[in-house]
Amino acid sequence: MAAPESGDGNNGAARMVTLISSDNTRFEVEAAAASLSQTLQLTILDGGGGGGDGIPLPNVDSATLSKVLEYCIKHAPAAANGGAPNATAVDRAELERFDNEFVNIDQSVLYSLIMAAHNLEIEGLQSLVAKKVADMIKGKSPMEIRRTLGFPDPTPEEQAEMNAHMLEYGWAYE
Amino acid sequence: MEASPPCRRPQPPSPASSLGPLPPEILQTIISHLPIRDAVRTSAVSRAWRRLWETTPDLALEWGCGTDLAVADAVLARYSGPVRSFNFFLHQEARPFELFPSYEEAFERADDWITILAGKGVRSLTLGFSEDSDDLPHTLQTTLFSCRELTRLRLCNCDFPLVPEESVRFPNLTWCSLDSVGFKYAGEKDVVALISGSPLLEVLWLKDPYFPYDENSFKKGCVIEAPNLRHLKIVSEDDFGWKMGDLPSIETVEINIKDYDINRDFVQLMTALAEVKKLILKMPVSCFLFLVAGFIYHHVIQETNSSHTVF
Repeated sequence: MAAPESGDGNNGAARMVTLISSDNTRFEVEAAAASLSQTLQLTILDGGGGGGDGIPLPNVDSATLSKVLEYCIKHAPAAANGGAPNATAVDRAELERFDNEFVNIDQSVLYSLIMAAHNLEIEGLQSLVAKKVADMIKGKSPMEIRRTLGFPDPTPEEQAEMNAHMLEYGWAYE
Repeated sequence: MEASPPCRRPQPPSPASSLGPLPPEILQTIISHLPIRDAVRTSAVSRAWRRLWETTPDLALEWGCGTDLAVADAVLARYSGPVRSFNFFLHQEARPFELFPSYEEAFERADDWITILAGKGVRSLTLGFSEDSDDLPHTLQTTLFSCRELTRLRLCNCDFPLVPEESVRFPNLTWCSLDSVGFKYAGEKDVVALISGSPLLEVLWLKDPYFPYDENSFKKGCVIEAPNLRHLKIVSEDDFGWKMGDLPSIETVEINIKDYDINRDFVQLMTALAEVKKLILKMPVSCFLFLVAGFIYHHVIQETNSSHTVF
């Protein structure tokens, strides 16, 4: 839970780390922002990612990483305050507005983001994207959910299983 | 026309509009954000989603009015927990009469649910019973105290089980609202035991509590002491002699009593609540006039007398 800023005399300038996407693009970002990722946090606390070295992220392409870092940079100050007990209502409303806007994206981008948030273990982002998908499928029938998520039409077996479920759990479809 | 072909048939999924395969733990994170009906329906979406809701932690099992008891039974039988929240209102209008076996039977089901929910680590529990005054209120079983993970508890129109003394009953409870809840075993002592057995309690609402009539216990009153209590609200017809003890964290207090005890010691009450940030004291006009008269007597006449003795 310690604040990610290291006390190694780097006063004034925040410590920076470099992340390298799967397509070899280098992103320089404040350590505090990158530390929102549980996966990266340990490496960064150990002093990794600085200078000429970078932390390679073979599962995240540059478009997705840039989007992930946009989220981390926005949320880092609040996270550094330990969930922001001093945050004003205005700050919180601003973060909420940012979050809503942030997930207003194509499903393919959303998909990459879900996978990246999962791999990098960024708790807030994992929850944000999951909630977005939940909102997309809320109130829909299984067939409508399939269409919403872009699944192909069900096979006859799948269709039979769907019908069986509707029979067994009729109350969930009322 | 060729540039914009009519799309009569469902389009094959294009990369931009399709969510690819997701691992089960991500699907479960998605399911955990859904109400229970939606969560159960996801089971039929595809094989990847099949029965995932049953092992998704922290689902909210919240039922609207009119839900069949058997539905809650079925879900509790399948769902592994832990349960984030469970709420159910067993009202008369909930089901047509012939479908609603009897209150006794329905209320016993609620007791079974509490036992099951205790095993599934329920964190927020809301149970409302019939408001029909012809029915005897249902007395909850002591299995309620097995719900040790509870952080929120809301009960309406039932009797509280006997609160065992001298032990922590709800170690995590921070929010407690009891509406028309009876304490028929030990009266005010049960309330005191409940409060002292919930050391983290921050919010307590007591609306129309019911106590067995006992002249002596009323005179002694019930002293509310809680180290973390921030918000307290008491609404009742009768003055059960509530007294305020040590409340170091208190911020707001609302007391709305229709019929204050003639011997009610308002000075003790006000002194004990001196640190409160917001105090709402509601009382009938007659009682207010009585209070003002008492204030004038204590602070004007008596002080005048004392000043006479000094000079």
